[in-house]
Amino acid sequence: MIQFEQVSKDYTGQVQALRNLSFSIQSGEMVFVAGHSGAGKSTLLKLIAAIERPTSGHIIVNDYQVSQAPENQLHYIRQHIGMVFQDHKILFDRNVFENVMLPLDVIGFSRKEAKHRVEAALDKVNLSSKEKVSPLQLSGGEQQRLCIARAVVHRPMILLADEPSANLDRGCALDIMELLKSFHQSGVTVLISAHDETLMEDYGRRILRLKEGQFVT
Amino acid sequence: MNRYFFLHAQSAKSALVRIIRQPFGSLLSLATLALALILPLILYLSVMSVQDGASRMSATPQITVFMALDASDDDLANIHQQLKKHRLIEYYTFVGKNQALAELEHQDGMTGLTSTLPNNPLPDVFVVTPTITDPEGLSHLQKNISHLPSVYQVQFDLRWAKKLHELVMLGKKIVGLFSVVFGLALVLITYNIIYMQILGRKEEIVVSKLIGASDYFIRRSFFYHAFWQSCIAAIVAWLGALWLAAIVNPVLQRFADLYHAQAMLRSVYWYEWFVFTLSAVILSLLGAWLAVGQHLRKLKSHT
Repeated sequence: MIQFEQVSKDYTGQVQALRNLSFSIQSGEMVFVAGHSGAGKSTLLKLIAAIERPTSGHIIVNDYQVSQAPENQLHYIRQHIGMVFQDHKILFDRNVFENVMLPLDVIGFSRKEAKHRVEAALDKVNLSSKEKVSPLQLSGGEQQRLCIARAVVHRPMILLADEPSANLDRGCALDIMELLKSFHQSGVTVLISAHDETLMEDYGRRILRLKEGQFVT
Repeated sequence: MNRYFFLHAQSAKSALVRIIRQPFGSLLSLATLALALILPLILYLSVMSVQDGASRMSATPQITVFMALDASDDDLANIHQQLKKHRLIEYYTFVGKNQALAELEHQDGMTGLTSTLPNNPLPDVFVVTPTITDPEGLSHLQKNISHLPSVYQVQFDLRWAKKLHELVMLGKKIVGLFSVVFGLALVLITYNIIYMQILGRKEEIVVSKLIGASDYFIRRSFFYHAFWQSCIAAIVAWLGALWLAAIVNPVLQRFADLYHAQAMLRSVYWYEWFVFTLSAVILSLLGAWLAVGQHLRKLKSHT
């Protein structure tokens, strides 16, 4: 499903975010990426989502060479991946419903089908009662659930979550993890980055540990 | 194909809803665009009104053939025949001396004129409309007609007609020049308006790109925004022109009445409004294309 072959990523030729990473993740797997800030976790996820390009190496997602994809094809790759961003990237000029609707507008779903999917996604993350609410009125945990709803509304095969439990108390963090686990149980390949390994330990999943851009055991 | 039309319909609807949801901001943009459109429209209507008036006054010079006072009916019949078969004459009208005197008597202050005159001093006149308009040809025709028997004098004022013609041409050139200038202004105004909207929706564009929006998706949204704005602005400009004409025409006509003439700023014909609106839309889309293209290029390096 996801394959990295000797992937490196340099920023402006000086900062080496990732160094010769090679790994693979099978379809339907749930994998954690652990490491301190600056270890390269976000970069790894962005490379999978084709938001960043590797400096060297190959990235293959669902048999497609993401690293070699032309510019005008990148949006197709991103449409098949759901991403929960570290900084949320919530649009505060619209309500919860409209935020979750955005990926469906981008893909071009009909209004009727889109409405149905948004309602289902919000129901899944327990935000059905807050459809018309502004995101500014949501708590941290609720905003994170909004981001998850937006990431899964178009039913992607791969879900990437970049520090989904950051800035949340342990209770909320565990709720978020459970939510992500439920998506995994429905067959989605889930990749979660976090710096708190205690959250990962209870799930018995593979953990890829990064330090200064390289895997450590 | 259905999906293609559906996506466009969706973008068009979203853009219109966005304009309606931001009434104050939209109003300012529309007012700016409408002003940029109304000025060349008024200028165009002014020149076309002058041209219409000039054609009523006959921009094609007419030649007046005055017959000798003692010209007989046979002489007149001969002139009729000569003028009828002349290849450079489109048509002519004959004003007999008695008819001319009667018409003169009907004018203000001329009542009872015939009772004061021993005989009719007016000649028979042929008013000739030639097929040609060039000065040399007209001069040659004038000479030809003046050599016909019993023709006393042949007159035409080519210089006046040329002046009017050149004035209309000058007006058209000015309209053309101003249209280019205002067309450029429209592109730049739309560019700025769309760019401001892009800045206002910067977050949305970034997030949309991150979750899989193509450049085409982003462009489509702003293209329809520019489309609606230019259509609405064209309607406002048209209404503005109508309003201006309604104010100016009574004043213009009162002025023209002093010279026993007709003058008015005409309205826009439907096909002119169609071309005008289409031009406004195309120029606006060009401005939007430039603005969106520039922003997307900047964004590429970050996404």
